[in-house]
Amino acid sequence: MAIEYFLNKKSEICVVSLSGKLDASDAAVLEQCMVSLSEAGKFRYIVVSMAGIQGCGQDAGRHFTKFQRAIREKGNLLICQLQAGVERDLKARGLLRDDEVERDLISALTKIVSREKR
Amino acid sequence: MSQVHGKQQAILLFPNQLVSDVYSIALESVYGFPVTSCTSPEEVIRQIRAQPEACLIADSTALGKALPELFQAQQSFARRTFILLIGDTEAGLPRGATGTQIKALPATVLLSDVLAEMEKALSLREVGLRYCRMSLKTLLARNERLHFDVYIKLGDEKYLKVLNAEDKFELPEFERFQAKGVEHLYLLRGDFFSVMDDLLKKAHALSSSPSTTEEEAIHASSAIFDLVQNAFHVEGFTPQVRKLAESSISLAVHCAKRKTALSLLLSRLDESRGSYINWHTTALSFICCKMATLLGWESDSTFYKISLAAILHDLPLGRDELAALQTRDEVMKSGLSETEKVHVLKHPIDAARLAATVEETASDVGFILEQHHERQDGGGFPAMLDHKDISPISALFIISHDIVNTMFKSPPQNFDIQNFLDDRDEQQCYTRGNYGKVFRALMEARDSL
Repeated sequence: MAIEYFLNKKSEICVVSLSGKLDASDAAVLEQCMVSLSEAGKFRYIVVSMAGIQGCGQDAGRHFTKFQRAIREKGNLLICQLQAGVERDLKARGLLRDDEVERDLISALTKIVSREKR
Repeated sequence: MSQVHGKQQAILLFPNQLVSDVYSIALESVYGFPVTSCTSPEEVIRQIRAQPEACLIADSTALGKALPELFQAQQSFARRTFILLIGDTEAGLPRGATGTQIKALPATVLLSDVLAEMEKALSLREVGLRYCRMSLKTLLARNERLHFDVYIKLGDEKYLKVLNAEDKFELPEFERFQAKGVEHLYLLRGDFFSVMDDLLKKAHALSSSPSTTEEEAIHASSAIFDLVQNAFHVEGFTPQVRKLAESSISLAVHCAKRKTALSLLLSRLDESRGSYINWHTTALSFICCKMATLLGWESDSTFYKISLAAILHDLPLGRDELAALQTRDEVMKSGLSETEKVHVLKHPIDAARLAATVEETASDVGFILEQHHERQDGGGFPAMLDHKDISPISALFIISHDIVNTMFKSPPQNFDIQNFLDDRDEQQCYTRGNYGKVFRALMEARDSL
């Protein structure tokens, strides 16, 4: 089953919620998600909530990396709510940056506020 | 993070859009609350009017000088609104603002701590909303076995059952609690409204029976106002609370139409003295109606307007020590905080706003309420209107209010209406405009009062 995405847009933050199992056939969905994000406007922070992602196939790593790179061009990226197994797998494959990963949505939002106060 | 139960809405006010977005996402995503982000304190107050159940999270600097007004709005019509202020706030918090209504957190607070505070407050509020307060006197006045359990409040979250359904609540039980300094006990919300319904029926029966005495009407009216006051603090001025309030109007009208002399009615009222706001309101309602009858202004519409004004006039204040202040001078010299002083000085406007929430209320009720602390020489409050701007019905209300206050300050059974009139005549308190017209009519009837 293809992954699905949902955007929760505010003025300066957008939360992208992903669900499903990420594999190579989902490249088009990730691209469509980026198009939706561009159409939604400009955001200072884009938080990707991966709570619904059950895994990432070996062949999907490249698409996920491209997806992250495209987001970084639009704003600051934070990824949160990774399932333990998925986080271990993505980190082992070098697909995540430590400073962009937060345990849950509240932690990600707290990080945004604390960066803003600096 | 646990879920807060019940349908809850959130209102936000942050000058920083990014911070506002953060709170908005957290409240929507974690709790599923619909969120309204406001851009000004005025918008916040408008939103609270529309959603009195809401939880407000705001940056205190964004609220700025509107904080006292916001607190007044919460006191007047949005008792259930929980306010969470973030920033340098402790100094600006109004006295009387309790932790369950309003909470201040430092600017450095973490988002997770703000949410934890909100959860705690909303959960406390849920507990608080399960119980309604009733005075010992009202419980005693029911004069029948309890058909509900009765609780005592031990803390914000703790209520202990002290009486069971079918228990008696008579003078010995009353005295037992009174000796411990207890003034109120608590009923479960559903039971409270069932008592309200019983009282409503009783008030209807009393007001339609020609044999009802002044004492019976005054006691029932006092019990009704106790429930109105307590229900208002939990519910606001809902149609059910209003209906109960209106039932006490019929009792005041019932007494006004009897041929009893004013002095006898005053004596009966004097015998029923209780806590300031309760007694003062009950007495004012009865005296206003009686005075209207004496002046030949007896009409259902006039009775309704002045009685409703009597019921509402101090409702926004809630505390006896605030309601007892009568003049601008007394307020300014009192030991109240600046916020409380503003609250007292503005309560006529807040009461008028309450009246405006009752659709069928004539604008006269609002005028009476706005003017009830004005004085002939312009030395009153809030608008410092002199005699030229005071309507006849407001003048009647103000003089009745003066009678009630003078009575309360006099030793029990020591008030004399003739002496009162002579004193005010000598001091020329009521000589000009509509004050003069009402007062002269009373002076003409002086010997028959």
